[in-house]
Amino acid sequence: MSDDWAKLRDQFVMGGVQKGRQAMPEKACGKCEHFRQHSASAAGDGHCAVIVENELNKVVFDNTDASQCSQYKEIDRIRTDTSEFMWDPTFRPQRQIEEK
Amino acid sequence: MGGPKMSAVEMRSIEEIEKSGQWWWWAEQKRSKRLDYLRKAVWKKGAKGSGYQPGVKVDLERPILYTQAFQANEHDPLIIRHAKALAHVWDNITIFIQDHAQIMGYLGSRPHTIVWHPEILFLLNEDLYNDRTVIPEPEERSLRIIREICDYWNPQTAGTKMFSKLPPEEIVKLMTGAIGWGLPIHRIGYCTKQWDYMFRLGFEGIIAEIDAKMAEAEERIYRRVPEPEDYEYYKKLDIWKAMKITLEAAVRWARRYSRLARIIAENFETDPQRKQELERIAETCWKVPARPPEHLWESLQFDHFVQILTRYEACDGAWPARPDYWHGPFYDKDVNQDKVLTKEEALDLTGEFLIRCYEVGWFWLMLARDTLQGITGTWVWTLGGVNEDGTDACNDMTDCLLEAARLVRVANPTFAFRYHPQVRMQTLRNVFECIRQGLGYPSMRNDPILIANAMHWHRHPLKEARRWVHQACMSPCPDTKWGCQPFRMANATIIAAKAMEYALFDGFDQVLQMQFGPHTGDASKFESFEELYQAWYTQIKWMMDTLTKVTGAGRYNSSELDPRPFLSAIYERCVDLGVDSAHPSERGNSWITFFAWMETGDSLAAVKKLVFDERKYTMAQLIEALRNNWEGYEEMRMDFVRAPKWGNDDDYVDQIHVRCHNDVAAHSWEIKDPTGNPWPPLPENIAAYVTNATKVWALPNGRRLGDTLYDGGCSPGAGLDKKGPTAVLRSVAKIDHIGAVRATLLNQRLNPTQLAGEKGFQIWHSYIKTWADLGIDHVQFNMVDNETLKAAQKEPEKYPELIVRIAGYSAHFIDLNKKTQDTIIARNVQSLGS
Ligand code: SF4
Repeated sequence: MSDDWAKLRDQFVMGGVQKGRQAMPEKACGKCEHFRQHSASAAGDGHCAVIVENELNKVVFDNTDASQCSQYKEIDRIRTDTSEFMWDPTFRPQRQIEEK
Repeated sequence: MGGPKMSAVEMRSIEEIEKSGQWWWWAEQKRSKRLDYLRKAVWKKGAKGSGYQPGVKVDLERPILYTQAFQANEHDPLIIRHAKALAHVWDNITIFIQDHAQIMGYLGSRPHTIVWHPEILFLLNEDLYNDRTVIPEPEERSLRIIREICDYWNPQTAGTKMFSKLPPEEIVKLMTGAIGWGLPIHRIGYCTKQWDYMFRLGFEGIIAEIDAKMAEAEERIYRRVPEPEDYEYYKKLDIWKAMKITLEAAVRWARRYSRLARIIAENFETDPQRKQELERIAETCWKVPARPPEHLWESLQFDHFVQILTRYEACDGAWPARPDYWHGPFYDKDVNQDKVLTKEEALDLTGEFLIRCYEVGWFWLMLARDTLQGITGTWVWTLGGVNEDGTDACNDMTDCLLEAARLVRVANPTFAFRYHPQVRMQTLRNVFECIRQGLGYPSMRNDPILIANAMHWHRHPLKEARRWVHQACMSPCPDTKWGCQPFRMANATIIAAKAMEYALFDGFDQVLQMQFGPHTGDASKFESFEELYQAWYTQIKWMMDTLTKVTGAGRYNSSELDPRPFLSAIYERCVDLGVDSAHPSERGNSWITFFAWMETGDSLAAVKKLVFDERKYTMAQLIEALRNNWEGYEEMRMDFVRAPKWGNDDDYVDQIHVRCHNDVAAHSWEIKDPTGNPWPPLPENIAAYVTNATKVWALPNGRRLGDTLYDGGCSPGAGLDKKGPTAVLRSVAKIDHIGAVRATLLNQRLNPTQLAGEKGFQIWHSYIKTWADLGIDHVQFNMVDNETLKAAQKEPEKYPELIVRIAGYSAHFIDLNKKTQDTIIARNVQSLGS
């Protein structure tokens, strides 16, 4: 089990390190209802609430490509205005995401 | 000195303004022209919500310079690379002198900038890249530079290296933000400073000590065949070298201000008085921090330089200080004895000293931006208290600081006052005046209790325990050679209410939809209160273990992965031993912050009463209602809301709280930090009671997902204390404030009308005496009425310096987002004497 956690940790660290260099895909985890953004940073790191691999939830980022995901469900609302922000499931700070 | 135009409000008389309670207009009229200018020229660096204020931009000079030097010295040992990078910044960053300023030293190359430390954490870097508010113009160019810096640092930030080393399960869980807050990184911490060392030697004196140490080391390892234990000196030599590089560069940086002041004085300044000031600034910055200070203007300058220097090195998220204790002797000499400084001049300097602190800011991770909204860190300064021999430590500098605070009305720093029975009355009146004028500070700390507490938990000897300062907003730490904890990583902070959620859902996180805590059984089948209690105790112990495991590992690995040469250089212990500041060789001062703590006892009491005593509901019904976030169960929810609540002197619920406190305190002794000390609990909340509202699922105290949590560490829930302030104190006094907590935070709102005049002081004073006699360690007050707060929500421009106490810190009301503002308004206003 601790190996699985180590894998998750590495995906999370490496994903965070590389994330800024990837564009925002048309269909992305950040636009999905099942995305749970981690609240430590506004860097778009998070995990999926429904996809579980080896008993652990999958690490994803707001710009992870979701074009192949069968569980993708587009979120109704996205907020990008940070002035009234409290950690909020609809908050997405990623530059390329539009408010809706 | 041309100040801003008089506003219409200023035309009212001082008496009229006093009567209206609009103390910010009073302050504007009372303060000197210089202070007025400096106060209005300052930039607000705290975030509102999680975005920075308009106009505030990230400074790119520091990251560019730091990166250049770090790249250029890649063959050096890590600690020396960091030292050289810092030195390169201090030698080259743009410096400036603001009109009318007397205290030098800015964090950043422009007054409106916040500093970015790209070497700390890859997520911070990506967070900045995503930010929509702080990227300087031209944006495209800035983004390109930021991307290049991110590319260089992300694979090797302190966090990247540290996360790969720490227990994998724990670090992933921490970073979700569901169970804890803060990061196990040396460059993000709360650093208590050891002023007796720095003021005694100055940096040149410390360098001389380092030189002697290096000479001795070289003697042992170069000039003879070393003994086995001597090989350690190879490592120590690098550390001493790095310390020395930073100390020398710090002196050069200060002297750049000296030169600039002299250039302006000799070539540009036409006002003879300002010219004289600039010459004095030039002399002061030449002298300190190189040599020990001898005057108040030198000691304040020394202090401020050190604070800025440490923040160039890293994000020091707190500002532990005891300015009346350390600057008091200089004040006394200059103002009372030698009369080289008038009281007014000392007040001006002190006011500016506060403003200079207020303007310090950096680009901060979201977790800190929104939980510390309105400010940039918990700059809580300690005043009052006792001397090492137990006599009253209040002095004229204490009064000067309190007076200056009323004039400049900054939200950071705030003060916490160490109250004891022998405290001098004139100072206590001054404290009260700050509270009455709505500053929200000083908070009151019960000195005898906290001294006993420091001795109980960390074995500090009495004399050293009496030297305590606030290491962050609440926890006392001696500022002595062996008592001084050089930094504290904030991530030993648990969101305690989650343990209740996990106990009810077998360790499953309802918000994240993930198994987090240990399996403690299906709560719908629990047949006794004791079963539920034990499930909760298992979960909270697991949370304490998880977070302290990460913090301990973070501290242990920091010397190697993330050393801090400058911070190390200003601790006598580190210089003596040749160790990095992360080396756990001090006496120790760890604690676990408990956010969202008091929901636990209230939830347990409600379940005990309605499920197990009265049997009105079953556990299965409760779990179903909670699973649905109480939706469709409103009548049932109201029963749980009406169940006995903390803060009403009701033993039914209070004794459950006391049991929870005692049990977590007992577990504190079972887990040890790297210095071998226990991890005592410290319940308090900053603004996390609002930000965590969407992270903690529905609870049996009647709370729904999204409802704000209780605001204090031992405060009753907003509006749930129905029996007046004495009942609140009686409930809170049932907690053992020495043996059950490291400290705990009590918020109270008082009625400003009731506390007017001399009578008001007497009423408050007798409340404070009762509070102290009951052995409660902390209380803080808001004394602004709801009419004013609501008016400020409507017309914020008319209430620029209206301050409120959040929890552990203060902020300007208009800098808070609406949800937090509403929580302040919702707190009960108490009438004392009821
Ligand atoms: S369901 Fe698919 S698209 Fe949605 S967050 Fe999970 S992985 Fe991403």
